[in-house]
Order: sequence, then structure tokens, then C-alpha cells
Amino acid sequence: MSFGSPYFTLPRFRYEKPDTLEKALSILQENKDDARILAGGVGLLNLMKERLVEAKVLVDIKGIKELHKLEYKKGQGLTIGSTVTLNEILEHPILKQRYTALYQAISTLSDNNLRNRSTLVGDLCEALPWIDSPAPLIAFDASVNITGPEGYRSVKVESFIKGMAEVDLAPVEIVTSITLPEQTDTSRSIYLKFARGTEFGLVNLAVVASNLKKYVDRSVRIVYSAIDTKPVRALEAESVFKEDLPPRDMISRAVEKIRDTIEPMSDNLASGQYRKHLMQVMTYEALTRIFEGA
Amino acid sequence: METEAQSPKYIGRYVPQQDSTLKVTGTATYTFDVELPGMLYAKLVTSDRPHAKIVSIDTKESEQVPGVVAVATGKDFNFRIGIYVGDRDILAFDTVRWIGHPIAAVIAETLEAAEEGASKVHVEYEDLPAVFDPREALKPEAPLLHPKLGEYRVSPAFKPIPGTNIANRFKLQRGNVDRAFDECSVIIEDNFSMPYVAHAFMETQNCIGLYRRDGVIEVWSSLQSPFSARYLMAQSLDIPVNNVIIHNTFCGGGFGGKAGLGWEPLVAMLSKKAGHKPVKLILSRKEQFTSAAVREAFYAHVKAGFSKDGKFLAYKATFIMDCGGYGDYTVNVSRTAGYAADGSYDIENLDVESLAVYTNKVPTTAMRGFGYPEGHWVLEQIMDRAASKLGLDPVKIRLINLVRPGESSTGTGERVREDAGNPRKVLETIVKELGIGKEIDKPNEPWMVRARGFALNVKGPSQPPNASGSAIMKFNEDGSIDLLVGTGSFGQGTTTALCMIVAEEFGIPLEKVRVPFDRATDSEAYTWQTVGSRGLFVDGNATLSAIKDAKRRIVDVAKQVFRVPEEDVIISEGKVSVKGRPWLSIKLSDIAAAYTYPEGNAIGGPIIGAGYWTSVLNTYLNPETGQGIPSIFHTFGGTGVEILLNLLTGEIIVERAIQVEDVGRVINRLGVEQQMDGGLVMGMSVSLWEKMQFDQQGWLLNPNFTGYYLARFKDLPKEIKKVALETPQADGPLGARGVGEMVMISVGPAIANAIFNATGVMLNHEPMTPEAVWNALREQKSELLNEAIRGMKEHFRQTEEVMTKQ
Repeated sequence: MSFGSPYFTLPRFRYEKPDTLEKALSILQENKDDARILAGGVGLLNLMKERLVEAKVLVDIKGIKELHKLEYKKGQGLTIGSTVTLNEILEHPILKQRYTALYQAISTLSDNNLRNRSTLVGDLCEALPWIDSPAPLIAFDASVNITGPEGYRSVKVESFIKGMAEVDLAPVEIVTSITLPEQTDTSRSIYLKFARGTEFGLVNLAVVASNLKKYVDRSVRIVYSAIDTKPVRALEAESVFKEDLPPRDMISRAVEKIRDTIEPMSDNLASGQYRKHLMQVMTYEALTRIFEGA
Repeated sequence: METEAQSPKYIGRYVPQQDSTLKVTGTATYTFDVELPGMLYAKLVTSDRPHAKIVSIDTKESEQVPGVVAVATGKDFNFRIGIYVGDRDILAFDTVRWIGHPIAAVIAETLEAAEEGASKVHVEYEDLPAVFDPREALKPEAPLLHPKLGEYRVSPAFKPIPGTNIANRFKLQRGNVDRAFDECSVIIEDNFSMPYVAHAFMETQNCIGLYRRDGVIEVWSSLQSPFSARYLMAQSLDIPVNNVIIHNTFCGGGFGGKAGLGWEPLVAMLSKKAGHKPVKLILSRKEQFTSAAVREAFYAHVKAGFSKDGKFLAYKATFIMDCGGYGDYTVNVSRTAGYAADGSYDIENLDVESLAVYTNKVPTTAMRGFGYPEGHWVLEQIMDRAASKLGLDPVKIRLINLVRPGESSTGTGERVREDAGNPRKVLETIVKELGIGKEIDKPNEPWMVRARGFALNVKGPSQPPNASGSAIMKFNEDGSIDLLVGTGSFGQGTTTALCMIVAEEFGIPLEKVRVPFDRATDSEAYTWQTVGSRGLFVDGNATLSAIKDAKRRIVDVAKQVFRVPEEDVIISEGKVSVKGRPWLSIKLSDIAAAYTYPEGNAIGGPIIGAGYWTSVLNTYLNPETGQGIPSIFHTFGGTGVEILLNLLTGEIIVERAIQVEDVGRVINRLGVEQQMDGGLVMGMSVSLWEKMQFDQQGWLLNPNFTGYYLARFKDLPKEIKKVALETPQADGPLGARGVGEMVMISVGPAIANAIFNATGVMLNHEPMTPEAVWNALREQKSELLNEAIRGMKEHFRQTEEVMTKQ
């Protein structure tokens, strides 16, 4: 939650806009902790106004062409560069068709004007508990592609987010893109967000499933955000779907597992008890809809 | 002289506000936009303690920041201000009373330097015990916020109690409640509450002060009521009123939060301190939430008694207003909630005590409808609950108890005038338009409930009995008119309505009548304040009086031009002519500046009309019993809603709404309907979602619109039906009454009543968030929730069976 800014002005900073990844990396290398990466700026500039983030150098990566890649390759998946805006992603036809949960999450994320500016990578790197992107990305088993002085590395989104506003990224590294693995023709996904009378979801839920009809190959991934300081994967509930049971029994048992194994947080938006109730209702709905569409 | 009767060209029609073009093109000049030569910027330093003695303030480091000109502290302002109770300091000079209390102001050449300077003022505190709940603050052992309360200046209508945290105590007493309760067959006793909420106007309180070297103070300010700000400022600085000039620029919303006095004395004194240069203060949203004033929190304990045939016999109520660190307008909120506790009903026995109580939280002030939303939230729910207990329906119980204009009297003993409006017709209109009694379509999902509910409202302006208004109209050479009125312009549309009246009365095009957009108190006509929905009524009457005056002057000249008796002169259609002799006619423009005969000699001169209006009927209220005549009119109205309630999540969706007000006479139909739309949405937002949340140490947890939710376009009902009834009031301008605040008063209780009627669940506390509704469901009707869960499983099971068969 933002505490609001008493200030109108930004602290002084140096603005750099390199046109290659190499130049960007060397600026980061020179300035280390004093530098921050600027993509859409929607989150960063506010945090700077609130004096929650201090930055002497802002490295605007929007001039680096290779980071503005949005590409779907059959059999390989979808790659979303770190300067691609949310509205640009929404316009890609494959998203709604194969990555429905991500499409739905981005559609409910802030508003149309801000989506013209915000980037998916920026949203993810902010790593605040209530943001929308992590749940669907983890449910799709997406990876974060990172370049730094030591070269290239790739980590799963699931381990990239380490805690409240904390990610597995050194000050000298840049996230270049996110990759979502290819989904099969049997894949189904859904994103539900409960946010009535709140700016953020009280519970965000993504479910990604494949091979629902063949239990040996069946896979169901259930991920929540906004219920804890970092996204929560419902592993015990997921394991219910490994058994050969009628859908309605699996759904009921999965919801029971969620009730019994996950303790959501209380904050000034909602109590943990209410969140837990919403999680059950939403999970029931999400799983049923997934099976209906199988 | 007479005006020919014909169908009105403007009155009652849909007319866009005259300032719309500038606003939608972003070219209207608000205080935020005003830049003056040599202007400096101020930044506040605020308290991070809820209650503490200031031991020392170290400004040395701040003064060394390049660009910083001076740093002011409380010792620069050794006087107190406040519209009704002088309990407010401009900058804290001995004690801080809430987190956010302004302590110092840094003046600098740039905003950047001012902000940096503000971060380098160091304050040493000595903590005092703090109290955050007004019910705790009433206990004898509670820390005292204002030990010198007995020494403060107090307006005659208010009663602070020195030695306590009570900023005002109001009593309304009528009949004998205790005896009446014995005769009641149904008694309802319960607690209700409303939280702190923000006005959430688009433009924060911005202000520029210029203390001129000749001793005159000029202020540009985002405010509602330039004249009261001028008066209070002159009074607190002990200078003549005309030595204060308030520039009345565009104001980006007020809702009561910019009435009275804001930051004007601060910027004026900062200007003096900074060598008589203009000083601008702009508030960030966070500062607006934590250092300015918001709407008070409200707690009620009430007992209501009804006879077996549904007559409301007795009402005993205790209202506690949490007014925060200082009382400002809230003392009047407590008074108003007290004297208006009986709503639209005729209740013979009343015993109401209404208190404004200090706590160590953000100070509070007036907000749209003040005192009335609080009282109605309680009373209109009691009506539905009593009906249910008595086996009556919500319509019938109201018909039994509604005031009857011409017969009933209000709780303060004021006879409800015959032409006050038609509350019965309001009720009938809601019944018809909402379809009360008609079958409700059941939603497909078994966990959804569709429900209808309504609530009535009544409201009059809460103002001193002698509050007046005036108007001046000046004719220009071409017969166009500048209308000079003092009413503030913050989106309500009053000035357009006043221009419509003038255009109609002279039969000239509306484009030829304007209230200047950039006004100031030294060049516009006086009005007490722009609050309480009084603008159109008071300033409209003053404008009509000015029109009459101008017409008299025109007739004076015309009768000489035409050589006819004055009663034969007619002013209409932009012309001055002679009754029965239409060939004797001249254009208004021929006479507006001076009439010139064909030979070249002239008579008359530039026409100016001046007028005023003051109520002759109002009185102070008796300090013991609250009896008297507080209001210049009462507007009766109501809201009906059709909602969807999700039993699984507690979500409320308002699908359809009906807004009805008896406005006496519609001046601008577009204006009335826009108020009805706006009031509905604001009423929904406040009753369903908005709440300022404080933690145990008095920190506000949601001081911006990320954490403090306001209604969005997506939350709007699919349909908002708007009905303006017209029962003209003899002393209203063309029969009109005010409507600006009434439209939000009954929205919350209408929604709560819909839920009560459909489920029996009682919602006593705003906001009715999904979680609050879910909690109420669990506590009061857990069987409904369990049924909904079963219904959900059953519903999905059916669809699942279809699926497995495929």
C-alpha cells in the first residue's frame, strides 16, 4: 500500500537513455545501488516522490530496441520484452487464445490510460503483494530472462519474487524479457480478481490446467496473490488432481485443501478470515469453469 | 409595469453550465494555475505525534537550504481562528493534536527548495497521552485536548464545555419521551455509526497570499465562501474587512470542505514574513487527507418507540461526532444533526443530545448535507425495521408519520409551511418509479439476491438566522449584463442558474448574461457563504431583487421617452415597449447606457440594479430545548434503489436508482439532474466503500486514492431515473428551493433498507463494504450464507453434469 506523498517534486536524479543493452549494463555497473531502471515509470516515479526509493541515476531502457520484443513461436511459447506495454500485450491475438488467465489479469490491471505506459516486467519487478501479474505468470510456469555483467541467466517467476518488494535481481542486472512456455491444445486457464470497493484485488487467483480428461497427464496449477507478502501456490490443492476422481469431488477436495492449508494475511483492505472465505468461493468457481471448458 | 406571461425560454430547460467549455478544454484558471510576479512557495512541516508538547523547533538547517527565504512557526501566529469555536491555531504553537498537525512552514524561491527545507526542520516533542475514540474522550480520565477551551471565542449558537473534550453540546427537547415510551408497543434500540471520510474534491486546497505594503491583504484561494473567509480573516487579524480581498477564482470542488476559513491567514502572514512577496501553498493529496479537515465520524445510540398502529411516538437519541483535533464546522454538524433528528416525520416526543467531541485525529468540517446524512442513516433504517415489526410495509409506516405541510411542525417547533413541498408525492413517485410492490425478477444464480429499498430525505440550509445575500447587475452598452454575485463557483452550477433567471426576466439571450469567472470580494456583491444548498435560494432572491431594481430604473427612463405612465411600460423580449401600442418600442440596448433622442440629446445613464435577500423568519434556537426556526426552506425528497446482493461475497451492486426531490421550481433542469446523478454516486461511494482508516497510534493508513477507494464509472448503476417535483415556495426565487446536498442524503439508508427487506440483515455501520456485509450475514443470518454455498455447488454441479455427458 502506498502511504501517499507529501511532496510534489521528485528528488534530483541524472537521466540516462542508452540505446543498447551493453551501454545500459555499463551505466548500472558504474552506479550500482544508486541507479534504477526506468521502463513505464508508473510505479518507480511514485515511489521516488514518496521518498521510498532513492535513485541518483535513472536508466531509461525504452530506447533499447531488443527489449521491445513481443513474439510467439509455435512450440516454444510467448516472449514479452521488458519495454512492451500492457496494452501492446493485450493486442497480441495469441494472448486471449492461449494465455487467457494473463489476458484477463492484464485487462483488470489498473486502467486503460496507465496500461498505455505500464509494462508487465515493471509490474512484476515492483513485487508488491497485490499486483496482478505474478499469479498468472507463475501458473503458466513463466521464466524471467536476466542479463548482467556475468552474462545471461533465467529464473522461474516463482522463485524470482522473494518477498514484499523484493526480487532476485542484482542492481547491475536487467530483466530483458519474460517467457511463457507453449500451452497445448488441452490447456485452459482463468484469472479471477475480487476488487469491489478497492483499488487492488483482495484475492487474485490464477488457475492453469491441461489434459483434464486424462488423469495421468493431468496438470492443474493454482496460484494466488494479494493474500500474502508474496504469491502463494496451492501445491496441496494441486496434488488432488493427480487422482482419478470425478471432477466434482476433486474440486470439493481442492477447495478443502485450500481452506486447511493456506492462511491468508490480514491488512487494512481485508481480514484474513474474509480472504480465506473469498479464496474458497473463487477457487470453486474457477475450477468449475475450467472443467466446464475442458 | 408588467411582464407578459409566456412559456419560459430558459427556466426549466436543459442548459449547459456557462463555464463548461473552459473546464473541459483545461483552460479554466484555478488557484493552482495562478502565478504572480516574484511568487514564493510554502511547504508545511507536520507533526508525526498524535498529541505532544512542542519542546523546541530547530529551523537552522532548513534556513541554510539554498533558496529558502524564511521558516515560520506557531510563534509567528499567536492567535486562534475558527468559524464557530475559535479552537484552531494556524501553526501549532504549543501543542500538536494529531499526526499531520502543521507545525512550521518553509518559504522558498522554488517548490523544490521549500520541500527540501521542510525535510530539514527538526522538532523536539514531549509526548502526551492521546485519545482516538470520541466515546473514550468523553470519560473523565481522558486526556484533555483543549485545556483552555473556556477562553476561546465562541459564536452564540454553540456550547463548548470547558474542562471536557466537548466542543459543542446541543439539546433538542420536545414533549416527554419517557412517558411516551410507556405507550409504545414497538421499541427499537440500537447503535449506528459512520466513519471519517474525505471530501475528495479534485483540486486540493491551494492558496496564494499577498500581504501588500499598504496593509491590504490579497488572497487567491480554492474556496467556496469568499466572504466568510474575508470576514474571519479580518476579524482574526483585527483589520478592516475591506482590507482583505479574496479572489474568487475557479474552485475544483468543495463539498463543504472549503467553506469557512482554510489556509488564507497562513499564506497572508507568510507573505508578510517573506518581505511582502506573494506566497503560494499547494497541498498534496496526502496533506489534504492528514493536515486539512475531513468529514467527522459519527456514533449514535437511539431508542425509537411506535404505537401498535404505527405512529412514531418517541425518539431518544445520543449523537457523538468525532471532530478530531479542532471543531471548525463540526460543532454546527452536531447542532444540525440534533435539531433535524426527526427527518421528514412528525414525532411528538423528542429527546436528542448531540455532541461534538475532540480526539487526536485529523480535524473535521462541513460536508455535503452535514448533520442530515448522519441522522437519516439512522432514522430511515428505523422506519423500515419498525414497519417490519409492526407488520406494516415501509410505505405505509411513512404515510402514517410524514409531516403534513400546513399542519405539522418540525422537531424545533417550526410550523411546516403549506408551500414547503409535497413529501407524500415524493413517496408516491418513488413507489411508482421503483415499482415497489411489483414482483422482482430472481437472478439465475442462487447466491444472488435482487432487492428494492428506499429512503426519504429532507434538508434545509444550516446557517445563522441573519445570513443574507446580495446581487448587482450592470447593463453594458449593447444591453448585455454582468451579474455580480458572491456565491462561489465550485461545480454546483448556481451562477448559470442565476444568469438564466436574468435572461428570462429580460427576454434576452443567455449569452448576454454572465457572472464573471474571475471575481474578487471587492468587486462582487456580498453573500454570507456558499453552503447548505442556500446559493440559488438566497442569491437567486437577491438577483430577482436586483432585476426589479434595474427594471425600475429602466422604466424611469422609458416613461419619459414614451411619455406614458410607468405602469404602461413593458420589458420583455429584450425590448422596452408600451402596453397596447406595440409600435412604441425600443431595444434594451438603446436604453441600457443612456437613451439618445434623434436630435442627439440623451437621458438616463448606465443601468445598474442592486438587490438583497435576508430571511425575516429565522431565529436562534433555544439553548435548552433547541426550539426555534433554523431553516429558510426544507427540500423533501428520496432515493429508491434496486440492488443485487451477492450472498457469497457480500458485494452490493446498485443496478437501478430513482432520485426524487421536490425542488419547488426547476430553474436549470440539466443542473438539477446532474446534481441527482452526482449525489447518487457520491452517496453510493460514501455508504458502500469510503473510510479513512486509522491505526492504534493515530496514523492514517490510506491517505490517497490508492488506498481510499472512490466510486468509479464502472460502479455506476445501469439506470438512474431523476424526477424533480415542483411545489413552488412563495418566497423562493420563482418558487425554487435548493437541491445540491439533498440528493446524497438518502442513498445509504435506501441501500441498507433494500438489504433488510430482502434478507432481514441489518447494516448499522457505514461503509457497507463486501466484508462488512459478509460479516453481518454470518452473524445475523448464517443460514442464508450456507444456503448460498449449497446453491453454488448445486448450480455448478448441474452445469458439470451437462459437461460430463458430452
